Amino acid sequence: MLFVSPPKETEESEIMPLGAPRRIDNVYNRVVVGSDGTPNSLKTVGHAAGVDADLFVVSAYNPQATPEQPSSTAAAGEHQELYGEEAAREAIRVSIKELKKERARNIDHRVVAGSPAKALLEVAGSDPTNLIVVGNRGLGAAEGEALGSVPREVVKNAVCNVMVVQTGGDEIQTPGPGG
Amino acid sequence: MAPWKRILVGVDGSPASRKALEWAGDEAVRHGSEIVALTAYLAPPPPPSTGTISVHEAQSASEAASKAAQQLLMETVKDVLGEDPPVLVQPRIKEGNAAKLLIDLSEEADVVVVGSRGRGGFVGLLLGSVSQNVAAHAKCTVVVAR
Repeated sequence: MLFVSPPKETEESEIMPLGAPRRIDNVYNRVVVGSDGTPNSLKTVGHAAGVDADLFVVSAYNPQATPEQPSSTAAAGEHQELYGEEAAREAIRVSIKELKKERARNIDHRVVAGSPAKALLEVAGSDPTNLIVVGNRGLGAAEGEALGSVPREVVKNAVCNVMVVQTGGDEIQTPGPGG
Repeated sequence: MAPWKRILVGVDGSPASRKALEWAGDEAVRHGSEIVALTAYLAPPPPPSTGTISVHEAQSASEAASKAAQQLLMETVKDVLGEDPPVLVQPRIKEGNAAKLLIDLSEEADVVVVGSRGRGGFVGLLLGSVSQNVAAHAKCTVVVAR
């Protein structure tokens, strides 16, 4: 004969029961993400697409048609500065191609001349219910610096929440000539 | 990416850290995640008059700091998530640098959420140094809450 007695209240697991349904406050209006078309930024866009809100993909470009100096040899996957509006449009196209395939959702996009951080902050505007998604490295991460200038500026100046996706950490940092 | 299984949140009692905890609570309810809430404390330095304190004094000062941190964490959790939180919250009290502790603990978390600016510090000097540091070095996605 087997008797199963219910556990005493004190013996129950420490996991608290899901009480009355809680009002969920942090529903985002708009998720703003930047893209330069590189694999790293596509990863960031993927994270942004996972958030349940309207997606806004922004691509910032340098209005100069070509770089003043040949760009330093960036490792594959690393972020790049975009020169000219056409390059920015191409980055957007690459970024939303996969998303459009996957799901029917509200995807908006814009190309902006100027700094990527400023473009993200501008599109997010002063609405605290927006969310900005950025990669942690990105363009402007000087050697030895783990946080790129774009995420740093966005984290510092945004009025809404910012999600920083680890697109590359210390462990995959390319060693400099000295190290 | 979401849904997160474990959400790590830094709590120091500041308004921004309360927002961070709020975010963690909402996400935990939505995704059935558990929350690890960390409050870091630093043992007070010896009084400048003598420069030294006995081992016993140091111990009791450290214990007092730990107790204060625990009280702050419990009160903040109760205040933000309610008397009877609908989600599992694991409180953690640790001595040391908040950013470093959060970065270490991020190894076992799916997302870390911190307030955009912490308590204390001189404006402009320490402003948001924890969030910047965590955003840079965490092993998982970081959310900076406001």
